[in-house]
Amino acid sequence: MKQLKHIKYKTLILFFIIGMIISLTSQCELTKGLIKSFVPMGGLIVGSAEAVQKLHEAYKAYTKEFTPKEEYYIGRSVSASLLQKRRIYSRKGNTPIESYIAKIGNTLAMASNLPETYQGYRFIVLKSRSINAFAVPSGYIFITTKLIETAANEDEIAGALAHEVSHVVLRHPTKSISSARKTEIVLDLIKYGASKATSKNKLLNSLTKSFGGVLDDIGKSVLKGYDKDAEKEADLAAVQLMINAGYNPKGLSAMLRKLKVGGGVHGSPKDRARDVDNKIATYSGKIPKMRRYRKNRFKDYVRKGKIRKVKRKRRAS
Amino acid sequence: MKQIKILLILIFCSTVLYGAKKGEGTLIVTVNRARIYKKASAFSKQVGRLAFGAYIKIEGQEGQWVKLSFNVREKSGDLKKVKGYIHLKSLINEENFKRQAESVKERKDREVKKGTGVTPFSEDDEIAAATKGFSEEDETAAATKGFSEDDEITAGSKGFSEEDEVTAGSKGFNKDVEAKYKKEHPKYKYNLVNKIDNRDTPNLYAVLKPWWKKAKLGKYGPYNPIKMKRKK
Repeated sequence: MKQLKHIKYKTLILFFIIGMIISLTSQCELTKGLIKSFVPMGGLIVGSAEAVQKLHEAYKAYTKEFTPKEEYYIGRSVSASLLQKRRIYSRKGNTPIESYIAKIGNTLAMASNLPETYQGYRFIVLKSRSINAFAVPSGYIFITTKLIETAANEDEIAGALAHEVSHVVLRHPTKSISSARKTEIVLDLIKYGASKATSKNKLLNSLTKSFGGVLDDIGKSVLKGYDKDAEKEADLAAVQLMINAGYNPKGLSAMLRKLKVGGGVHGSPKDRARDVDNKIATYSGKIPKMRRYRKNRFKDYVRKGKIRKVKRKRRAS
Repeated sequence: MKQIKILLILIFCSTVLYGAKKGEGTLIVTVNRARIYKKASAFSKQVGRLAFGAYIKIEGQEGQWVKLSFNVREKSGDLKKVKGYIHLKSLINEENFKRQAESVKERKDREVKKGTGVTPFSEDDEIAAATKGFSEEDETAAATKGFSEDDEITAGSKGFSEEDEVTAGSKGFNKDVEAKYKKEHPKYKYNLVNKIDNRDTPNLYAVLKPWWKKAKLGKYGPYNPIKMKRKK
């Protein structure tokens, strides 16, 4: 009987330890408190408190989102890779057109739920013949000269930039990292991070390898576009963003209709424009008007920046 | 059975104590030179900037904005108490911050109360930025005139240094990882990215305010959050 009672105690303690290990991945505050109190105890039972603590930290770090600083380093490297084959409008970024784009972009960023990133938003004009804009983690937003030329007014440029700012706010670039890659990072960290004997170099090598993988995943998504749902989510968030900043959201649907390429997994631009229009139609509040002052300003800035305006047919309104 | 009961009571007590310790109401700035606004909106006047890693004591919360007060050293040398707001997403709790920094204790002396790590903006600087043109050069002028070069250096050096960051290297992507990656990819344009990073506009409000006015944008647009709050 006494022996049976002893076994019961042992089973209870065993269940307790298993429970603690399972709850390591949990985000609950209560279990966090329990973990914090009992990880050293668990470590003593297992034999190495330090190893368990490291394991706990590795889990904690990668079950959460990237910190703004980590996103910043990812954003920097993705930008450095993208700039390999792209020409920047000016190295100093002080031309009137670049200053103008930065002002529109910053106004939109200030109206968003993420007014600041680690180093702040950066709006970069690229010399390119394709209509394109893309966002990189931590708020590096690229827009091509062709897109600026194609826009009919400031609100259309704001539409394109609001869409990109929304991708950053909704953290779509970092969400595009494949789940297989995330598992690989966690496994690497457990393998190297939990071991007491591992040198800093080995861990650094492992992290650099993971970093490269993460950049590959993000780079692909940034250039090819996100999936249909993410694009739709960014479009709808951009409508709200434009309204908050004072821009007419119809600028976004007008810009989407000008896109020729698209479809497939990212959704056709026409369908996306229709969704944006539906969202505007069902909006209960007041929609900001398209101001003549902004139209005139747009013409001035684009001329000052010496960006050649492309001739386009006027659509019947 | 008695032993298990005692064990459970101990677990409960430690959890409660841990929770109480966490709810002290102190947060840490997690972005580089966070902007402090006069009101709970990014469209309101900017009163200063806080260095990465500065500790702030929460005095209240309005939606996504955290109220704080800090001391600013005036030209006369006196300390002046200024109230402001900072966005919640620019802040992080201590536990999460440790992922970025291990030497948190060393930097306790940088508390906002002491007026360190804060870069204030004066009325004069705002006027200077507003009356000049809108070129990038003017923005740079607005950036440097708000405070002396020394102030900026002081604020910067008391912030979280890159060396500290390296110590946190074992937990994520940081400068060390970037440096190693850069070596492996020499063709990547990191020099251009550095130039882009340097394009900072410290007092965005001062630059954008005149630009918004006639265009009916930002605080002059139909959705001015400050006016909407007043109406309520």
